[in-house]
Amino acid sequence: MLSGHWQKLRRAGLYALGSLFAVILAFAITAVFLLLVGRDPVAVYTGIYQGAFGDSFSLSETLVAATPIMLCGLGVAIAQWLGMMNVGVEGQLYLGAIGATYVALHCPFSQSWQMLPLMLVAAAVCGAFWSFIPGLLKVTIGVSEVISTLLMNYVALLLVEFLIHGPWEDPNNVSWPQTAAFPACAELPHLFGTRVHLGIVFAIIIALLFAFLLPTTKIGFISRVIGSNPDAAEYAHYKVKRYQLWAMIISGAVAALAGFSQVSAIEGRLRSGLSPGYGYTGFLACWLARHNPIAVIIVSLLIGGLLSGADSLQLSAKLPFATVNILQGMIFFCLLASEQFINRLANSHIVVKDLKIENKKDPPSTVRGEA
Amino acid sequence: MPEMSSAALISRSSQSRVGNKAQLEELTICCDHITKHFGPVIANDSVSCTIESGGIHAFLGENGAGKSTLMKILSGYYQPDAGSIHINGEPVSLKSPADARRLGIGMVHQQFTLVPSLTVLENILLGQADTPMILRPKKQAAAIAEKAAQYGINLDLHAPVSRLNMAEKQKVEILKLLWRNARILILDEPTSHLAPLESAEILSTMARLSMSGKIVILITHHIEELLKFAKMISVLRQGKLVANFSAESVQAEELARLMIGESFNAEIDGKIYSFETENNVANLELRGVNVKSSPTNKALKDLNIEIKSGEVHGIAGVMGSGQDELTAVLSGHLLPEKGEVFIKGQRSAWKDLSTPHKSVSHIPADAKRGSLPNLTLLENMLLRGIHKQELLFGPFIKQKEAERMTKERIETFDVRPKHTFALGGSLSGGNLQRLILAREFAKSAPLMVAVNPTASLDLAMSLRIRKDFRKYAADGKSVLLISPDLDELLKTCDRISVMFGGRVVGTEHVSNLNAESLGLLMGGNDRAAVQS
Amino acid sequence: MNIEIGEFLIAVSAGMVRSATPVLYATLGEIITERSGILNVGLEGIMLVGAFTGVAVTYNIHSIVLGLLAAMLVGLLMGLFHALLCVHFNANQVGTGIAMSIFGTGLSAYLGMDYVGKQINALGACKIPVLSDLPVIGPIFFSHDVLVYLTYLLVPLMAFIINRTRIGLTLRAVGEEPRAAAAAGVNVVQTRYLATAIGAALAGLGGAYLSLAYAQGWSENIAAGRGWIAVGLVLFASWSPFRALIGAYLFGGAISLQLRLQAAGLDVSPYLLGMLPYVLVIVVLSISTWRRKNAPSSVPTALGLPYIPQV
Repeated sequence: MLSGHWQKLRRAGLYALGSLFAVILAFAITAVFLLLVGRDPVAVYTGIYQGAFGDSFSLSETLVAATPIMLCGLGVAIAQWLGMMNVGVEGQLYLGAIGATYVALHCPFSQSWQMLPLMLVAAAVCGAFWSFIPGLLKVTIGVSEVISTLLMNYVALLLVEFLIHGPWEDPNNVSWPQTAAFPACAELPHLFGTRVHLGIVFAIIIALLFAFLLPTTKIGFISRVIGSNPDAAEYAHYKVKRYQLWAMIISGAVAALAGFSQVSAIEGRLRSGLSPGYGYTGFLACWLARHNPIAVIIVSLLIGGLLSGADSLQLSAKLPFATVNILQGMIFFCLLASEQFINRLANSHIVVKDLKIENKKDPPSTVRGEA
Repeated sequence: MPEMSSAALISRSSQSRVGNKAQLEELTICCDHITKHFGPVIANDSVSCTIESGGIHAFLGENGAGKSTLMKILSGYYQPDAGSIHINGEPVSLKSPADARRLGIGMVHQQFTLVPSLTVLENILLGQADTPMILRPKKQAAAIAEKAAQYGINLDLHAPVSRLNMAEKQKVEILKLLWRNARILILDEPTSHLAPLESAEILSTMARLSMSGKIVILITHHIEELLKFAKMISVLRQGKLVANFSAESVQAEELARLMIGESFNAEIDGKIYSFETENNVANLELRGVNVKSSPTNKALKDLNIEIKSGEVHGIAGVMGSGQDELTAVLSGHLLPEKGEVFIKGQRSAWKDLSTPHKSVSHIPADAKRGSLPNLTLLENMLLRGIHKQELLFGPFIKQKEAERMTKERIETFDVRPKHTFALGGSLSGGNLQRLILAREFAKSAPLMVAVNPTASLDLAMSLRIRKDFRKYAADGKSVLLISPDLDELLKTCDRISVMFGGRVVGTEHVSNLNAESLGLLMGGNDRAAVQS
Repeated sequence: MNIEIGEFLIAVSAGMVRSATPVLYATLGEIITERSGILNVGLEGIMLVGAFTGVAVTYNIHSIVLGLLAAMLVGLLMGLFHALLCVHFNANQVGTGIAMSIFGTGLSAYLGMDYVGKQINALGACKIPVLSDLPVIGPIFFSHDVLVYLTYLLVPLMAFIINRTRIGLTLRAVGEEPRAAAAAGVNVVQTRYLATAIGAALAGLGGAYLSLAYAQGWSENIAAGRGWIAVGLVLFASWSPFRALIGAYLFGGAISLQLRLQAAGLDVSPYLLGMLPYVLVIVVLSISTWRRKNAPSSVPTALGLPYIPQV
């Protein structure tokens, strides 16, 4: 008989293996696609690897690309823990960028220690507002949060377009749709003299914080119950709706930090192509990580590598960025398809043992339960 | 009206003349050494029996005795590992439910297989090969109504199934089989959700069917019922056929002994014990509780009930008499429009019932609602205790304390597997129910509300749980036991309240009650009339 | 002045019918799919791939009919794939749909690169004689292309099939209580495959309409969220084809109004106006959900749940 901790480890290992298998399968299928369109998959994949982890520069670029994915992925995870599917992190990212930009352009601070915290707060509030709306519609009326968060992504994008074509247009460069550059004090500090920035520290702190609090606190416990069986949470008189609404709010705030750090540290201004779908990628990262905050960080690093690798390939081998989307879709498919098998494997050992115990007593009830 | 029925009679006799050959010939189905394994478990161990038309053939056995497996083999859901089946001497192969349907074998499952949003008519037409592409409700209803009248079944064919009561749903299932010209009908526990009068009606319909040349197989563990209606009885125990005889030649005690085996003792059939609790104080009292009706459920109307300390208080009633609402009100999930609640004699606020540490202990009808299949046993135990100060250190949970507590309770209630990190979903039905019981016991509320707690359990486990209830009540606390199983109520409770149409129509000490008088009360009859 | 307003309204209404058509196809398709209990939120991806396929085939083979058929075929295949994951692998249906959207967006963008800005023979209008000469109604409803007219037939036909035929009965039963349907002898797996495939084929057709008739050419991300809007409209329509028509026209009306207002030189940012259809769908969906809150729900009971055959 395995002890409890070993069982937990075994389960975690199997999940990790399953995700890995899904990723490998997706790469294989995409290789076939690449062959079909006349590309050499080996060259493409080695190119991506080189571009992702080949040298210290590409490694730093991987970290840069991974940062918004981490924050978005954590945002998705926070909502998912309470059974809310937040597919609107892309929009919340943009709202975060808008909030941060407003402060950067309109507040007359000249010190970073004044400017940056205010930008951060503004970003978080805007992102939280954007996820609060679908959250509220869900818990009060019952509107599917999948649909409302997704539609709000399109609204957020149009809002950014409106701002950069209208009120916040760069007065010095009307032909290019973007805002004026931020003042120097609005730039998030970079690390090790590279483009890597403080955003990644935020992400790691948030992940560690949740990884610690979720299993150890009362609120964490209640959240996990709500996510695992909302009926049981209602039964135990937990305030399910209030918790879910707060989860959406915090989820949006965390995703908004991705937007804040992108405009502040990378772009230095607000423009429309800010995110090549970090929100959706974050969603995938979260699912690959099975909503585990630490795993989100690790998975995001790998996907970040994929993005930055493909980015460099786009320049050198003229491989369009859309390939990454195809690959991501494929990974997602394989992951979902493999889920059933992994779950069965992860729990198989327990079921078999239970059956042996039950053997003496009421065998068919176990059999029926299994069938 | 008389002309109508005579017309029906004529058409029926003309029909039966065509099918006369088949009906006059005795229909028999023969199981020959049927064996079925599930992994290491033997569900059917070389079962041989012959089932004939001309009277109901009942299969008796405990949960897990293998009767459901045998019936699922007969209706093509399972294939036996060994053995063969013959109909009228011809060997038949039942590779799938479709094969069985083709041979005229039909099964009514315990869980109804009806689509609630569709009408009765649509349910009957569904999946039928000869249903025309374009539905013509009036024409088809007429044909089906004729068939129903032939067998004395009376139903509104255009009503959506969701509006029917349990007995009517049962009739729809039977009519579905008859419309498909089934000649072998298998009914799995058809009366488990019915009031006694409804059960009698269904069973006499089935008896009529069996006399008209069809084979009717009844699966049940209800001994009284089958002594009244069955012609032949087969008893299964641990996968083996242990007896096979005609219903006239046997006594109830003998059947019980055969069904349960050596472990049988008088206690199982007998009443556990009960206190005189008339003079005890009320742990919880509801006065004038009103709940507005929703489209699907009946409301509570001026409901009064008093649950005394030290008693196990039963609630009997036909399904939908307001038991669900009463449960929801007591467990704090439904706020009534009007009414008062008194806890230990003190008038209390309704919201106390929905405050986690003040709410009542509650064993829900569906164990899934009271457990966390994806979380560990430890977390399952914490579900209701998370607000307790002794388990918390600021916002943090005291892991060691929680684990010690869980181990202790798992041990006391003998939940298996015995380690705290097993997932809730890996427990069998009986263990899951005991896990919930262990947790609700520890909650230690003055009242425990238990809804149908032994529905999915075998007799031995049920008995154990009933004894647990007595233990809970012995501490000066109370248990409210809501169950459709009158036998269980009569054997476990001190007093029983009968609900009808959203109110309590009578509360009696069990010594003044038996299954018949309860049944009459449940049907809405006056208490005085019953007693006289 | 009055005549001008009248003309404006007619133009907006005619535009409404055209703009509604691609969403309507996708919505009708999704109604079929969801009635069988399968949730396919991947319409966005399917519409995009359909739109691309339509353009690619039409451009290379010079046949709009083949282009439309190819788009439907590709949609059908994507639907079958979705059904495979949902029915055989019991995958999370929302997850699968989102994956389908990401995948479809990527695939259509990759393959469509060479077709951006290419001229194609778009599907032309074909006025219905007599009817198109009617005042007001003629220009609004009967001066479009064949695919618009097809929706006029498709909506009542679908309502009839769902409510009054054996196929519809089977479909409803499978979406409500798959186990009961299976016990009655219905092949649940086959029904779900077919419903998902046909639903996705209609979404593919909607995508092709977008590129071949509405926008008359391919551009990246041409669906711009219409797939998601269709999923929302199914909820609004409570799985009824007629209400889907109303929902699609509301959305189409918002698009058309916004375009006409821009053309008329209204001094409001086109980006703000562009939000109108999305916001409208969220608002309309919320109101209809709220109004039905206490009414018996019309959601197919088994929607989104995996079907595990009973033994």
